[in-house]
Amino acid sequence: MSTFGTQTLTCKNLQDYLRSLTKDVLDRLYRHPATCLAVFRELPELSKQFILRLLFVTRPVPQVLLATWKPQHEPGKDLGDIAAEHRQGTQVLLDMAIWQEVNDHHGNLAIRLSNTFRDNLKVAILGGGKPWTMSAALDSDPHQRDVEFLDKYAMDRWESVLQFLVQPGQGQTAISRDAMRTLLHAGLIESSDESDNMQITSSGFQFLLLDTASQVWFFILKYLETVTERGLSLVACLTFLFKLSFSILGKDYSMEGMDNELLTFLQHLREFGLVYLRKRSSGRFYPTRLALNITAGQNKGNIDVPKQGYLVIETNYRIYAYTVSELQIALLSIFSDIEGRFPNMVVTSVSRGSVRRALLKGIGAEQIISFLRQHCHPQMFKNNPVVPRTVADQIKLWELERERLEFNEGVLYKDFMSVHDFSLLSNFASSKGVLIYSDEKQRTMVVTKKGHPAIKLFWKEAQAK
Amino acid sequence: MAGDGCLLVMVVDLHPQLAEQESNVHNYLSACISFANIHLAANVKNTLAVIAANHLETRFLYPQITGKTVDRQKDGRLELLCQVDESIERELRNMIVPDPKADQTESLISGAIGRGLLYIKRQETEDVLGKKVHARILVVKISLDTGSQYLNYINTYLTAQKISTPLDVCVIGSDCGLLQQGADISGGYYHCVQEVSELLQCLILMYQADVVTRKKLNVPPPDSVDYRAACFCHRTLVDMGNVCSNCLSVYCKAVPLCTTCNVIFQTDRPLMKIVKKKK
Repeated sequence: MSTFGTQTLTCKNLQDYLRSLTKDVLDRLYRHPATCLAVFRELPELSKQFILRLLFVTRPVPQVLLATWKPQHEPGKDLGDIAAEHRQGTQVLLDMAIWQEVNDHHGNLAIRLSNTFRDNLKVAILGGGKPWTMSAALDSDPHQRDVEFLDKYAMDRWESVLQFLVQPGQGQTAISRDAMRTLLHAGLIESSDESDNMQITSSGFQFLLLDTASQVWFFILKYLETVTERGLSLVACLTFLFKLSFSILGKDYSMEGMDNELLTFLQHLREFGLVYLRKRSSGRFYPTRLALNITAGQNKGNIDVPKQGYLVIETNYRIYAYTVSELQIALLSIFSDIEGRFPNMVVTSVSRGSVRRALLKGIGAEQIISFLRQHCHPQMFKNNPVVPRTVADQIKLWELERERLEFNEGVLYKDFMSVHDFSLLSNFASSKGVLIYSDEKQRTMVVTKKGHPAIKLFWKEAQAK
Repeated sequence: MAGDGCLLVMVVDLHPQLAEQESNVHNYLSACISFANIHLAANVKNTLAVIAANHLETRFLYPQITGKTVDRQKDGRLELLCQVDESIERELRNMIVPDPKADQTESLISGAIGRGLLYIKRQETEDVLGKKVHARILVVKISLDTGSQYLNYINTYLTAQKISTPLDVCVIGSDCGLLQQGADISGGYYHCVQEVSELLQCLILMYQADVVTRKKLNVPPPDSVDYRAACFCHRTLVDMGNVCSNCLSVYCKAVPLCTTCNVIFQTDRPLMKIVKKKK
């Protein structure tokens, strides 16, 4: 239904991402407890239950038994949805090669939990096995860094990436070529011509309005897509990333035992602010909040960097932003007009014109509203809803204004010889649910492109009779 | 809701009579700890509280106010879970004391449930945005029960029902009618396992899922609930009793005066006679 060719930025979650990987890569991934646990956490609730139930069962479990896990039928209770959820939960596990279909000793179809997955998940949850590579013993760090420092460092780093997106022309030197390459690959910026002139794309604008956790995850996903080009192994990088995501904030980890590939990867993560390294030779690194729970992505916004909200939104479409950050002001000016700047505050107003400007760039109303909600001043949270309803509704209405037309691809049938032919075909089409438009007077009808072959066949058969 | 995580309050029975079967102690404790670990591992946002109860006291095993952090990973396990274990183990050591005199009294489970409910309530009020905490309580009980805590139990059950917190009960060995009532009142599950070795698998099968997911999974059909009340005079469960018309206290036999609210029952027949007859 989307119109005018604007694309909404879709961010895969970890589960979708893993399902897009090949079985071989998955198998190698499951060889480490960290990945198993990360994968396990992101599964749908039912799938988690399925895994846990089989965690201590080594023999294959017949399908018949699995069917008894569905709730028993009770009168007045619709089990259709639940059955579908069960199917979906099972399918996910099979797709990700966590469950294997085998035949048990009676020859019946049975399910077995992948042995590698089981063993490593057990290690991750219940203990055993070897410590992860990055947990080698370290002396206490003479330059110990606290959480506050790490948070500030991470945010500075990350904001420099965002800053570059907002003003690609100015921030050239601020970020590394690697980060820029990833941004280009992700389609967040594009070079308009041969020169180095970069320009932010519509996806880029949408990216800016996401919360930090989603931004980082999206960015890392895109980075991983290019990882093999850089000569790094995808499995090694993913495994390390998962280990990192389970680490504890404010604790130092050892670089001992890491090969050159991983060290390069670590350097890249350092550039994006996911880890802090005092210097390369120090032999230790600190993960920052950005790296923690990175896999959680969009699902878990609250493990975000604790940031003080700074927006006060009034019902008269005025926004008071208590900030001095150029980046935040630039973000606000994407969809609102700046009315006044003060030493510690900016006053902007949302208008039809300013929102339309944002919409034309491909930003959705929902994205604007969620941005406003994320950055609200703590005082605003006392209101319900947080963003004044008039403002939120009006922004949505302004978006709807642009979507009065709906485009559907279809095939036109016209010049019917008789009313009978026309009604025969239009009835058939509507019974199939492929009819988009029909006009008896003009004897014209439009069917969807998908339905066209069936109609054609039906028409031919009718003619033959 | 599934993404919001869940607060699980585990009430673990540590009655000294546990120590009588040497082999079971280890299985029992490791099943409880493993289950706690699985709960924390299943979702980033899941939180946990473990309260132990023996015949003398109830004690928070986790979380601890003074948390000592583990230095380095010892094995290939999530660091956070290691810390949880250490905290629980340390407190367990402090708590388990061999006490030969203990065989008559039962564990203070009702008190532990009460503390659990308070903990849940506190989490709720401490949340800045006043968000509803999805919480449930799981009671793992191994000791035998007597009716001595009847009133306390019923009070905690009704509180749990009021703050819509399901109370799950897993009993090892013999059935426990009192706790079964609690599960039934507050909308939790009740199950009785015969052997300690079955405990972990049973916990995973029945109690791991949160309230929403449970509706999507099959459960064993519930048994009929034993709703007998305990009398206020001898704390024994009674099939038929006398109820005070003023305060609803239950007595196993007719008494002339309610010991709870001090009301004197006026009857046309002399009550003392009946009492005497019974003697």
